[in-house]
Amino acid sequence: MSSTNLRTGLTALLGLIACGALAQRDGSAGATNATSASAAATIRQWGISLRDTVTGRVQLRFSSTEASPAPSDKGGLVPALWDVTGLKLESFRPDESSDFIIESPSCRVNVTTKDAGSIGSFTARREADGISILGHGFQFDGVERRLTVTNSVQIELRTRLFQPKPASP
Amino acid sequence: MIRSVLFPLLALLLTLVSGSAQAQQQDKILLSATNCVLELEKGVYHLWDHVRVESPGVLQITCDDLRAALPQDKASGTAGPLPTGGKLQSLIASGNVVIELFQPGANGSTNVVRAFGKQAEYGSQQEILILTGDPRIETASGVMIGTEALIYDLKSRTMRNRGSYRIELKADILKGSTLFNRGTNSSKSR
Repeated sequence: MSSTNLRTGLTALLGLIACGALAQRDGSAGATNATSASAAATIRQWGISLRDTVTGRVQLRFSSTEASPAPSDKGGLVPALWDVTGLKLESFRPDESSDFIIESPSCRVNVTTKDAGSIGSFTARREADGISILGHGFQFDGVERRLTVTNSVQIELRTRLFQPKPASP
Repeated sequence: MIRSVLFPLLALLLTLVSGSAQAQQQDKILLSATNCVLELEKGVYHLWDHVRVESPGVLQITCDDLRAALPQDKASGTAGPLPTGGKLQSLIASGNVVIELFQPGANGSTNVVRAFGKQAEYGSQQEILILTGDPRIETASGVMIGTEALIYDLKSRTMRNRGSYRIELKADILKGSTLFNRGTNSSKSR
């Protein structure tokens, strides 16, 4: 693991602790997957804050009503990957004021690469300029702050297409 | 000679429609598409497949691909884009571009001006809309067809062209018009 990943992992872990994440064993999931008891662990009121490694300021905050570690391709657990329910992803400006808020009923989050994505529905909004987005199938790149939508998107902008000409006297 | 009369006439009709549309324009734009990539920090939006831009009741654009840039608020020192002056910085629509401008007409009807082309480009600095790629503008009065580009200046509300153009006016538009009854160098009409 590179030092950057290690740092991000530690930051994420600290974020989990700071958010007071409460781990609870999900009985139903545990019953269906007895071979991987830890995979059944569900965290309620899950939250992670990712900070800039230089300034220490919050860049992204993931929170959700429930989250479970997602199994990796090899069948093991990768702590960076989480399947979350009721995601609220907040991105912050350099001055820590709120920027975008993305919400999704169900999606997968990678706290190492700061990605979130889902084939399902999502909404996004920014209070500062009143933009709101509604769509299906999204991928959010938290490093580049890039939102990709692959299956229908509707965007509402609170702005004018053209500047109206001032009324003549 | 006839062109010098008809061109301003069509431009005038377009001006009346768009001028009225601007006066009613709401501070809301709806964009929709199948796919998009939004560079949230840069304020650059790229939408493609079944793209529609709508300013409700005022104008609608449909196209295959749309790139839009929202103004950046440099003064605030923040990275995120904020509206400056309440307008888009630039907009490039390409592929089967259709622009419709709506204006409430008499008796509750709606007058529509339709513009067609392969690309439409709008820049807020110059406040012009450039229609290229077999550009064509249709109004209730007639059609303007350009070979290279039709350029609409939103500031002066005038239309100009690049390359040659052709105007086809419907005959009934001149019915009852006083346009040709104004004073000229010729002797008084009888």
